[in-house]
Amino acid sequence: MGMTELSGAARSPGAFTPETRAANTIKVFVLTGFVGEASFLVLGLVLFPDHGPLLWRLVWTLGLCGIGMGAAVGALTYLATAGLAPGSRASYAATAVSGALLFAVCQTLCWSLDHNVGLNYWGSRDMPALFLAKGYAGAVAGGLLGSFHLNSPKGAALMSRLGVFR
Amino acid sequence: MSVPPRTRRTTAPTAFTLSAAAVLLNLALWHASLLSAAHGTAGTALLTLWLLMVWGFAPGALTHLLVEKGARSTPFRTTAMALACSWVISALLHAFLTDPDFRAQAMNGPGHHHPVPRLPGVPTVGLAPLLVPVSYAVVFTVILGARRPRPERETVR
Repeated sequence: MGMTELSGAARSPGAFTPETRAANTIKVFVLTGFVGEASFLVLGLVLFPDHGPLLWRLVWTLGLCGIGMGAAVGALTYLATAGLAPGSRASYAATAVSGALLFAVCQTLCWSLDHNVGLNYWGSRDMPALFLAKGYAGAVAGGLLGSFHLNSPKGAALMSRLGVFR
Repeated sequence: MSVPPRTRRTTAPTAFTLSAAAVLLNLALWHASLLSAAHGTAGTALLTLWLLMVWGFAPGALTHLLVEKGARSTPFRTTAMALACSWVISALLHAFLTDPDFRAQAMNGPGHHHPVPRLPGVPTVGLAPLLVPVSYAVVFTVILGARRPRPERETVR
């Protein structure tokens, strides 16, 4: 149903065959999470240069948070949007909302780790308002960007050019 | 007249479910050791959720990516790569959650002013028992992916 009337990004060759949709969703959100966390890492290094060894900050920020959380968000977003036709309004909305909500959950979890367990790599104890504001703003931006790249022809074309979609 | 692309079942939901189930099993069996770093009920719940996402869904998603990418590779190679990825994540999390010395080293810095406690009487689980369910999840995912029929390359235009 609806497979002959694919719209938007589904018209981009290779972007949304049923077999690759899950993989492409995961890859987009891994990329989005990685870029977002890289910017948070730079911010943390500038504002809190002595909060933890660089190696472990890289591991946590880029590895576990960027790639790990991004993959988890992509997996769950795929489960939430698998039944929707790519490029449809419902898919746009569901992808954006799902991505933003899940990234916001990740932000809350990272707050808990940084603040309660005690990493304090990103200043959750020194500047909690900044930590929360940048995290939730990043979550909304991540959801919107992920939806754009997965549902619009321009976004899918960019991902194809970057080699994310094959 | 366009022909709709043939639908092929994807292993994605299965991969996510198996991986998440493996972590839930580990948490159920070893929660006293794995969740000792959390403070209070809310902190425990948040840490559990974080572990489910990073240790459960993330390796499942990465395993699925490897299965999809390795369509022309041998299952052995795909399994080896997926196991390596899952084991690295598991080892890192295990070290941080159960080894106070590792955690102190990872958090070292003048910006930290709180001690890293080792709770008395809490059994510390080794890495090997934690890897068993995780490894089963990876292997079953790869087996399911390898059993799927190879499709013709169809693209949507």
